[in-house]
Amino acid sequence: MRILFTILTTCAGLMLGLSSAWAQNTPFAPIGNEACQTCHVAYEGHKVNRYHSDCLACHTPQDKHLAEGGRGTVSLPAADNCLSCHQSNDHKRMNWAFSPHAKAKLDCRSCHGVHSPKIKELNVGMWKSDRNSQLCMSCHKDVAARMTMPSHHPVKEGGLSCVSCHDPHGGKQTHLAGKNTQCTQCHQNQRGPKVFAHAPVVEDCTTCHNPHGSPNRRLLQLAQPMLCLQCHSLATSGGTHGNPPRGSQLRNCTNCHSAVHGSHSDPLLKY
Amino acid sequence: MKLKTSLVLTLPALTLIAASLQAAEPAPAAPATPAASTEAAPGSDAPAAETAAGETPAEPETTWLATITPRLFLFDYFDGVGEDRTQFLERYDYRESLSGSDTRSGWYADLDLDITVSKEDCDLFVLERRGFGEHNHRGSARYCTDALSAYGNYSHYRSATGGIDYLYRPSEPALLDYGGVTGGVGGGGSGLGGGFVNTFNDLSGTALYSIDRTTYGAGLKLKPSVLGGWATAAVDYSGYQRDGNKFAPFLLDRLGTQGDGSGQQRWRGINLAVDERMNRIGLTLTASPQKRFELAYEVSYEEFKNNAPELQMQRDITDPASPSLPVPNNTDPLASLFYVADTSLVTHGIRFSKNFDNRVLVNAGYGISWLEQDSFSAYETASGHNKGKISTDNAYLTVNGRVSPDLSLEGYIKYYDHDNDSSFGDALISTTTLVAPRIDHINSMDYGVSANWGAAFLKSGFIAGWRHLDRERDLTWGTAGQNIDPLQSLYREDTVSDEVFLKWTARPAQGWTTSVTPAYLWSDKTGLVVEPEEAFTLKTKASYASPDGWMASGFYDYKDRKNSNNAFTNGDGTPGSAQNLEGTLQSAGLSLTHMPRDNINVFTNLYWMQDDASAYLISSTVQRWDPAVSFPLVNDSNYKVDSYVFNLGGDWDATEKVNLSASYTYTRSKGDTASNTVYDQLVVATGTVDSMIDNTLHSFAVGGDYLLGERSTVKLNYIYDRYKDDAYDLLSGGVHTLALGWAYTLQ
Repeated sequence: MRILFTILTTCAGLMLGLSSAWAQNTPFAPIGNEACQTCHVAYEGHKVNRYHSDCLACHTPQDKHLAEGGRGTVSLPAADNCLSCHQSNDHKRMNWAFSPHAKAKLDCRSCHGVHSPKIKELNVGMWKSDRNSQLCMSCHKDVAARMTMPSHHPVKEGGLSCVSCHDPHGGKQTHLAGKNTQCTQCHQNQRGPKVFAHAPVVEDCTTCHNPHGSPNRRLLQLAQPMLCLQCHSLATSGGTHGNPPRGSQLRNCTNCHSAVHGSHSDPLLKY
Repeated sequence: MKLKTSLVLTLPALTLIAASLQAAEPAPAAPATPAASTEAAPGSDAPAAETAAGETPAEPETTWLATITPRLFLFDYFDGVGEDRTQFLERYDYRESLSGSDTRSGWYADLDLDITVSKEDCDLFVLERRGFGEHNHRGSARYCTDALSAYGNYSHYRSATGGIDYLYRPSEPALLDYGGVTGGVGGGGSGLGGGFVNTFNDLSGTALYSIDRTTYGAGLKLKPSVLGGWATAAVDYSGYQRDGNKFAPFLLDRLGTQGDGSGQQRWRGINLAVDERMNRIGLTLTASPQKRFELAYEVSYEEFKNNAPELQMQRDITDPASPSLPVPNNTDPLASLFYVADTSLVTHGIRFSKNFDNRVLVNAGYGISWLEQDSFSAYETASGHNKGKISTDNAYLTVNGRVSPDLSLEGYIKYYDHDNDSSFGDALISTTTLVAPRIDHINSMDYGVSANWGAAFLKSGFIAGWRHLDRERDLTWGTAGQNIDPLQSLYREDTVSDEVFLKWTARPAQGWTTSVTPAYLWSDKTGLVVEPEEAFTLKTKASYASPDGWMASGFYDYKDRKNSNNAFTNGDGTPGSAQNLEGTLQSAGLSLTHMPRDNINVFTNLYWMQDDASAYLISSTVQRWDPAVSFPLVNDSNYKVDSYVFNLGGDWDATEKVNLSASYTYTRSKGDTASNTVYDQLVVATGTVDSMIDNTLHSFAVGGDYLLGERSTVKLNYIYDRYKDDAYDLLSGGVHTLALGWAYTLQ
């Protein structure tokens, strides 16, 4: 532990020392909004927050853009530009740089429409969901597909939103809680403490469940009984499971062990 | 009742709107725009941002816009089960008609609401409500000025997934043809298995299960303008109420073994009430003195209460609907059924972030939490278990430094400690049959380094890294005669793994982006058998956006994992069978979006996923606590399921007055969930219901908006859903939905 902290501290010091006079250089060529709006008429009537109403606060046009217009000749705001105002005093954005979204080179404007909402109208196929979720699913198409599987969290039905569980500005690396906290902030009745706990439940809900969706009931990673048999042997004599176990006992281990998340009374997790 | 509900929800919303309109005072002057934006660059002859000296800016006007959209919904469930059961499509979409509470067909009404109060291009107050009937509606409101922001929200949603689970109870009539277990007191030995699992007794008296979750929240944030320009303070409240019922099967085991015929009463299912409340309040303080660094402190208190009555064996177990059923003559009258304890949780967290001239960024945080059990079951109290407490510590340190404009290095370390300090004493350990370990302590350290390099080659970015995980557990095993030894379990105390990964992202041409991310993980020790001893992951993605409005993207993900680290040891100390898990998860997708014209947007998506996993079925010759136990390997069982999702849709602004949109989604899952002995034993008793997955869902939706005038729009949506289950036909069914709305805008 000490060694690791020493290594990290040394690395940080080296980086500070090695990086000489390198700094960001942002040229600036101001003109007025009116000049922009002579071409960008579409933006004239759009309502933007007054702090965003100065085009040049976020965009830097090249001379070519002023002369000829066109894409690629005017800078679009990077996350750093937005964070120069929005990071201060916002604990949710403090860790943006270490989030998976930042590492995937996304900028704020990838999700936030400064001039108008990114999702203006919900497609009729997702009419009950919220706009945040539809926006997330426009990139996370694998998750969107899982959300249509027979068992899923009801996001497209409007029961909850992607941001109910996920913080788009942060990530696991800077999360100040255990793995299960993401689940137990809604499923408190499963979090214990329970006198007879099921150890994998204490460790990680995703050992057994896929929260986005599954072809198996109850969001299970695999169907019962195979899910359980990965870890558990079956007594072929002298026990409840018979010889060999079959049928109604085997179809659902939880038909008997229904307190599978832990019990306050029964060590065999049956009630 | 439904009308009352709508009124109850609508009236406070309208009151809020009226209050906010009255309270909308002029906002304080906006802070100066960033200095950079108002400075004229040397040599520039462009006009500077204008605010002529001496001019008094006109007082900005407060404007408001409200759109009210009452909707009428018509629905009809067809081809599925009747009202006495839950239809598959009803599980996430529970509906009830205003005429006679019919849940199969009928009509209901609801109201959407959008209110925005603005001043000087700033939304002061925004209210939104979306309603899809009595059992699915939500709303939010926020108020924002330069000095403070406030918000409130609520949602109400009914889930009936328990009604689907109920179909898988042992006494499900659809299974009786295959020898399923009937209800009531049965004769010994004629059913499946023997003894007390011979007969399943369904005492629930219903097949309809649903749970309502109503969430609510509110918060207030003081902005820097009222706290010296460098600090904020926020208070947040959230809570939920969860009510309903669920099917709860259980096995009494050693209880109820007396010779009064109650032996057959030991396997039961009851209708269990759910009644839970949660309330959480939190305070967040942030500070950024002269923007030199960022500091945040969070504290929260959460209380979870279970208000459902405690069910104890002798007192409440009998079903009033079946009073003639014999009550088990319990040996332990204190045993509680499905007890849910009240708990409270206190969390503290502090975070720090410092950016050194855009060259080095250091973030650190530390959090601690205490979870306490506030109520105890009669069983726990009688056993001397009167303290339930879990504390956790979390800490992280991340450092990112730019060595050059093209190269940055990153390192992180994350620490997690979970300590169960409950009073699980020697008495319980030595007198109770413990067949699984109890986790007393988990200590985890996760750290890694990575380098991020930007290269000119194909405008590439490379991230190469290594991470290491070291997790230690303290486990408690029982000491009584019928407790298993750690060696007769697959659970282990340590997990140690390393992973190397590479991410290559390239932009070879304008509009093209590709990425390839391979990773390889290996573990010296695995605590759980489902943790990989070895795993290879590959993620690939490509996308292209053409200048003429085409956008195409595709991905292929592959993950292969295996573990044969964990093995049983026979009672005599000789090696038993080792579990050998193997799994391959593959998925691929293709998406296409096209805007042939400004007023048309079409999209299509195709997705495929295959989960192929296998594990050994390991038997034990006797129960695991018996010293004579050995663990012969029976054979392996294979789970292989393919899923496909195809989606096609579009939006079209047909005219200035007409907007149309449509969507079709096809979802298919098919495969086998078991093979060999597991399959044989499933099929012999319940047919193919439990051994395969074979279902198809068609979902078609079409909608249109017609602008009647400047202020009103008619909205019409039609949705058709059809589910077909070839493994369990009882689940098949469909539903038609027609929604007619009229949006009226006030300004």
